[in-house]
Parts: sequence; structure tokens; C-alpha cells
Amino acid sequence: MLLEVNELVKHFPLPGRNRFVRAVNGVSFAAAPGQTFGLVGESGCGKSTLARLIVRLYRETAGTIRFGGRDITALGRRGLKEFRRQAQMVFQDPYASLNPRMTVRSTLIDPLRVYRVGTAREREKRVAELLGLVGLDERYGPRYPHEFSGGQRQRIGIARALALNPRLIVLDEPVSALDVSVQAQILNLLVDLRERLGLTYLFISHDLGVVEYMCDHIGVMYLGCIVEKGTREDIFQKRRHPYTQALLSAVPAPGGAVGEQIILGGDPPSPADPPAGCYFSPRCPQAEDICRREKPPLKTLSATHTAACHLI
Amino acid sequence: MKNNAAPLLEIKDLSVSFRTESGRVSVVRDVNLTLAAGEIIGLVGESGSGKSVLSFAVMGLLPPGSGFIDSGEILFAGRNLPALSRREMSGVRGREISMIFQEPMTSLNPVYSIGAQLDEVFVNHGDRDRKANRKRSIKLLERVGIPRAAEIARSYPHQLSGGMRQRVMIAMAMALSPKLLIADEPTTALDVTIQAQILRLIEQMARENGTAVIFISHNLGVIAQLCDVVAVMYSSQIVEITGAERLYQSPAHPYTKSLLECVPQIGMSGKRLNSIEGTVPHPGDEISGCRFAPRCGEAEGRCREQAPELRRLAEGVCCRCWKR
Repeated sequence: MLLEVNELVKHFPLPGRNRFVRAVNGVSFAAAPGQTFGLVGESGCGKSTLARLIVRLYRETAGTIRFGGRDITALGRRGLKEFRRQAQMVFQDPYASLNPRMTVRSTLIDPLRVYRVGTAREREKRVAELLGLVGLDERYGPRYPHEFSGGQRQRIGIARALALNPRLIVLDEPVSALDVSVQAQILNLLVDLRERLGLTYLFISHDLGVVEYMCDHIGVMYLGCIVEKGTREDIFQKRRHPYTQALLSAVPAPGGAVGEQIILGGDPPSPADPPAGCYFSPRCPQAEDICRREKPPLKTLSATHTAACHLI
Repeated sequence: MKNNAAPLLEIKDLSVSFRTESGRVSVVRDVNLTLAAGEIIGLVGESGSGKSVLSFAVMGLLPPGSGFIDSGEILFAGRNLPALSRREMSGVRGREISMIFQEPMTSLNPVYSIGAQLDEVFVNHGDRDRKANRKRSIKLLERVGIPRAAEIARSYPHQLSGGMRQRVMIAMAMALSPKLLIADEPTTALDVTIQAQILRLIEQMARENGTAVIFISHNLGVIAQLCDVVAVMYSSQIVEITGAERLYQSPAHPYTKSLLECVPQIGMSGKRLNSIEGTVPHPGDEISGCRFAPRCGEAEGRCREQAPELRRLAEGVCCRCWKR
């Protein structure tokens, strides 16, 4: 396993005593090299916090993250710098994640400079190579971000993430801000790059169609927890958790949704004040007394498939 | 396209342009659309295709001084809306046509309570009995499925979730039982489980009141599920009008076809996604011939020279393409 996350917790303090936003509540999963692990869930479920914990933009409250067998939660400055060479991130908003005052060339050269990779000439060569990799013309180097469309900017963001030949790329909603025709271009590019460069992706999205297209293994998150986890087939064909079932049935599709549509009532509860027992119980159409009392254990359904529900 | 009764809304050869620093930019070109009472029509297209501008034109909300209707008519229940005075138009808005927007946070006033904003709708249309207005407001909130409606009426927009705020917007839009509701990407900012609730609500409100709906979205799945008829827009034109169930089964226009193939559908993993090369032209770009030709896989000489018209292909199907 390239990435192993174990019982990871992140609580953000709120004003007042003992009040926290419980953004991530004991999440465990692992991603094998060359594969794409997908995290799917609605807004506020903690998927972006999880991404930021993994690339060490946040410090965890508890738990461990192993990368290539090493615990990276204890890394010092030096170790962190080395880790970040191997783990990069692509952000959702291609308008906010590029520095408007830096040319494409300097955006791409920056990481090379920071890590003292190559000579000046080699770096220039690398910039041209990176632009080629993501399907942009190498003459775009001297241009500024505002001269590009959203899709082109996202290509620049991907090129920047590739600059140092990382092993892991964390993609946080990389196509959500793009129009569908452009979205397809970027998804195809990501699939090609993964194969050509042997990359491992952690792919975060709220769009189930996109997640199914991209991911080998998937974790479904609700209120800071992974409620169901498995291979693509486990989640899309053999889903067992009532939340996964409702989520999938809510996806609009021609001629009605996949299977019987389950309309959940209400909104997800606040992560600052989660309900007792199973966090999904207040909205769960099948909830029983035990669900409102006790937190459900993670049940193993097959070698690859687990779900946290009392009723399974 | 029901031809039996006189349509509720008939848009004829409508063109809209904006005045910009670099001259006039045509954002809606020769749009023809009819909508019967109780019908739900979907307007689908990517950003910049002109779908929102079209709806603003119907509402009479084009920015004064910069947005202009160059030609065409918008006939609503027999009256040509652009020809109405401002006063007459404000009588139409709210009472006969109302609108809900994408961002339920910015569409509500943060410093007034939910109840006060709902009451205002009745006040503006002449009902001044405060107690009766509040009662009606609470009833409306109940109808859109808001629990503890009396309590919510006293709260402020920031205290509600996105889904709840969108319900309030729908309540406000339905307050005076309009004949036409324009919904501009009303679920785009919402999570899928909340989106499902809101779609069901819009459908229910439309069916119960016989309200016609123009539903604008970039999401083909949402459109296909909710609407009776779909109009596909590309670069300021309608390129196809078809039945919602036909949209997926037999799309007519090459753009519609490619667009459908771009969307990863659950159950099709492993297949490579189609993508449309290039980008949407700028609305101001004058393109000789078909506006989709530069990106179209089927384009031939004629497509690049002569602009195709929207032609009727079959009952309920219109398409703007030389090759159909």
C-alpha cells in the first residue's frame, strides 16, 4: 500500500469550552500504488479536510497516515519537504489556485527551483515537457493565467502537480468547476497520466458518475466517517449502507434514477453537534432504536467491502 | 410542443445583445420557443450559452442601458412583454411570472426575517393586512415542506441550510400562484440528496397549480428527469428542441450527442469518455456557417459557410443542423 490512513481524526476548536467541529472522525483506508481511491460524499462530510490532512496542510487531532510504509504524521520540516515532493495536490477552483501574477512558466518552474532540480536549461526543458504532457502548447509558457479558460487552467494546475514526478496526487474536486464538455477532456487526461506515469490518485468528488468513472476503490463519507468502503463494484452494484443507497438513488438520470428513488428528509446534521448513535440515523429511512443509541461497528462484508450499519 | 390551445408563452425570433467596451455582443440569437400551461421545459447548455440571458429577457430584467432586445417578441398570455411599460411589467413579475435563482444565499435579504420577506410579496401586490399576510406566509412555508414553519418565519436566512433557503425561495416564487415559473439552476449549489428533494418539490408545485416551468440547468440528468420538453442551447442559439425521453435515446444535433457522451454515467466505467475538442466560442464571435462547426466531427464545407436554421424534423423535434 502506498498510502495507509488509520483512525484519522480532525477536530477544529470552536469558541467555548469543549466545542469542536468534528470534521473527520476516525477514518481508515488504504490506496495501492497505481490505483485511484475515491472519496465521495456531500458538502461538509469532511472529504476536503481529509485531503488536506494527507498532504499535511492540517495537523491531525489523532490517528496515523503512512506513506510508503512511513508514518508521516511525525515528520519534521526536512522530512515534510521530501514527502511533498512525492505527494502533490490539484485543487477545485482553477481560478483561485494559480497565482495571477506568475506566468505559466514561472508557476511550473517554481517547484523545480525549490527542490533544486536540474540546471536552468534542464528546467526550461522540463516546463516544455510538462506542458506537452497535459496537452498544452509549449509556447504558452510566457502567458498569465487570465489568458486561459477554466479547462486550460486546470491543465496548468495538473502540470504543476506533476513537476516533481510525484507518486501520489490528491485531486480535490478537480472537475467540479468545469463545463461538462471540458470536464470530459480533463478526466481523460487524468486517466492517461495515471497510466503513463504510474501515478496513484486520491480522488475526491461529490459527483457519483465521475467517481465511478475514475476510481478503483471508493469510500463513501457522511459527517466525518466512512460509512461504506469497497471496490467500484461493491459500491455501485452491491451497496449495502442505507446512505450509499439513498445517495446513488438521488442522482438524476434519464427515465428516473438508478433503482427506486429514495428521497431523504432533512439536511445532514452539523458536524459541531453530531447526533447520538449512528450519525445517519436521523435521516435514515430504516433506523431502529439501536441506531439512535449506539455507534455502529464497521462490518466486513467481503475481503474488499465494509460498511458501518447496525442493520446489515 | 402542444398545438391545440394557444400557448402560454411564445418567444418569436428573439435576439438579445449586450453593449460592451468592445461593441455589441449578441448573446441570444433567433430564439423560438413555445410553452403551454402546465408544461415543464428544460433549457440546457454550458456556461455562456445564453440560457440565463434568455430568462432575464422574459422577466424584463435585462440590465437597463447595457442589455437590449434587438428583435423578436415575447408573447405571454397574448401580450408582448418587451412592449409593456415598466409599471405594467412589475405587475406581471411575481403575480404572473416569477423566478428562482441558483444562489439561495444571495437571493434572500440577510437583514430581514424569512417571514418578513414572504409577507412583502403580498404587501407589494396590495394586501396590507399584516396578520393575514403572516398566516399566508406560514402556510406557504408548510406547503414547501418546511418543518416548524411559524418558528422558521421568525428566523433569518443565515440560520437556514442551503436546501431550506431554496425552499423559501420556491415558497416566495409560488406565493401568488404565477402562471410561469423560471428556475435558473436552482439545485446547482445543492447536494444530490437535497437536490432530489427540491426537484420533487418543483414538480409537485407545478403539477398542482398548473404552473408552466422553464427549468435552466447544465445538468442533463436533472433536465431529463424533470422536464417534458428540452431545448439545448449552444453559443447563444437553440440547436435542438426535443422530448425529454428522446433526449438520451435519440439526440438529433451533433452537439447534443457529444454532450451526452461527455457525462460519465453510472454503469459505464471502463469506456473512454467522449470529449468535445476546443472550447465554446465567445458569444461575440461572428462565425460564418454553423456555430458548432469548428468543434463538430461531422462538419463539412457547407456547415462552415452557411448558417443552418432550426428545422422541424419530426413531431416535437427541431434541430439546427445541415446534416439532419
